[in-house]
Amino acid sequence: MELIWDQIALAGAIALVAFGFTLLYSVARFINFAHQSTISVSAYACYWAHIILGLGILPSIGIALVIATLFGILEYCLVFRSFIGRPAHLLVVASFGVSLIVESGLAMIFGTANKSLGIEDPLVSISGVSFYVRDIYVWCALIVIIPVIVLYLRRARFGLLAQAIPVNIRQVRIWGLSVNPPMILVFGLSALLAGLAGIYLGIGWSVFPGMGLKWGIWAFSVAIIGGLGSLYGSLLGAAVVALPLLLAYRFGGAVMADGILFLFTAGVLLVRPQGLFPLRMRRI
Amino acid sequence: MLFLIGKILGEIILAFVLILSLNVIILARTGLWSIGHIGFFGLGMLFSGLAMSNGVNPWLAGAMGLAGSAGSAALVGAASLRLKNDYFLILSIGFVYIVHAMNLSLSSINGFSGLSRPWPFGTGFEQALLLLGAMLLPAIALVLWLHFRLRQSSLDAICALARENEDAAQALGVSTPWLRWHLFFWGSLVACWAGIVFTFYTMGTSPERCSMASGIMLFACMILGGIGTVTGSILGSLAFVLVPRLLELTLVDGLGWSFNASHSAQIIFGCMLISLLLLRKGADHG
Repeated sequence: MELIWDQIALAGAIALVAFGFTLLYSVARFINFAHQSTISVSAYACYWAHIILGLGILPSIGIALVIATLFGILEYCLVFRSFIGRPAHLLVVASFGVSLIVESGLAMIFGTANKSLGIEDPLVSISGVSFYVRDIYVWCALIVIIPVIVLYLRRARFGLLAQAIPVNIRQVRIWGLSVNPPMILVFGLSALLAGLAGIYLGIGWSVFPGMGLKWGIWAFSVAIIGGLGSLYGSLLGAAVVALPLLLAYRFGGAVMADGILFLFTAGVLLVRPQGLFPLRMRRI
Repeated sequence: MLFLIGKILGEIILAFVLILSLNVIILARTGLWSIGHIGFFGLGMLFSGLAMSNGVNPWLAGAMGLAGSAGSAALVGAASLRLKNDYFLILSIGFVYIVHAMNLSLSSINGFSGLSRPWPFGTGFEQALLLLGAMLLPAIALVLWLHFRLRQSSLDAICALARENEDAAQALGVSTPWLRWHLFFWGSLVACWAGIVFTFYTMGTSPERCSMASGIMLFACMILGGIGTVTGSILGSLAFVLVPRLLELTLVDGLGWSFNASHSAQIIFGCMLISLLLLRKGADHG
């Protein structure tokens, strides 16, 4: 039974990353493939703090989250800021360049071998249902952080400004507002989400340079299926598509679960490029 | 030493076929950023390797590989009729992942090995180079012929118009989707053929050759060389092969530094890609 909960939590972690993808898309209007490298960055940061520096579990997780968020902000300031206003396909290719740099950098610093975070994860039992602690961590992140972010984007003035950027960036500039602060906020938040997922994946599975790519692709497919830019779409996409596939993979021994996922994604792109749960544009 | 030079030469020819077909046929004329070009290479490699490992005659396996990958190229090309710009790019990226995953799951993690070469070619290394030349030089000649023929014909101007202003081209009575499909299909088919020849050349397959990372590096080198030109493709393929080799030769072997040359080459290519995209305003339209 705990295995099923674990798979659900894995789908939750994928949903966290996918939410980051759509959050970025909803504001910056491009798919940031460097976003998946954030998973590796946070897992390696946690490994560095916990194993190499010998800090406790909670401080290591805190450090990893801070590093992941800073990585997201740095990504924007160093690379993507200069690309604002250029065609989206250039940004996508540039983001691949960033992920190439980050993953090779990690492989050079830490080596390509699989590493373990060495965090023991006990099974806890709540009224007869057993969980891993890490599963509860993902669920808390999903239930608490995502609604807060959505509410902030929908209600707060700053969030509305972020939403105005993709609709009419020229108008935003005419108002005398800077594009950078909301962009930094969005890059930081999405990196934080990927960082949370990265630590979960690092605890439950192993840490290796390609881990961001491995899980990020699931998240990317889920984001496309759910509808790019549609914030709740990614969560629904994870529940409707990733979870059954993960369960089939884990329990039915389905081979090529990722191949099936990509084919499904390609089908969605061709038939319904706006995704299953599309974004409704708001005129601002 | 001679062996090393031959090996590098082979790598350069392989990279040149891929970059040239992507550069002058697909990217410059259709404006489609087909980053999944490496996927067609992987597909040709996979199909022919799969057929040969099941005991099919190499020539027949090559033909089967070509037919199978041509079908896939036709399908992805058909997708290009509906999707453009970043949506096409996303589809193209997904395609690379599918091919890479198929390569990993249908063969082993290191691909097939111990396959044979088609009939007149033996197993020695000179034979491998001979095979590479005999099979890829005609493909290169074909692409170059197509490139220069297109440049002289009015079709080139129509391609440019279709890229810049599709409505205007259609108003002239040109079926732009059909034109795009054709260019994409034939360009991709060349990459499939390169994959099949690679299987013959190494007598095996290698899934890491069609990973997203190598696709991105290929793309970076193509942009470095210059979009839409033959000289650019030559420069790009030289950079693609020689940069990792030179790094290994000078820093690792020469100065005795202990680091992974291919990873540092990836970092260099990544930085190069970003700065080129930033600097080249002309890259916007392919």
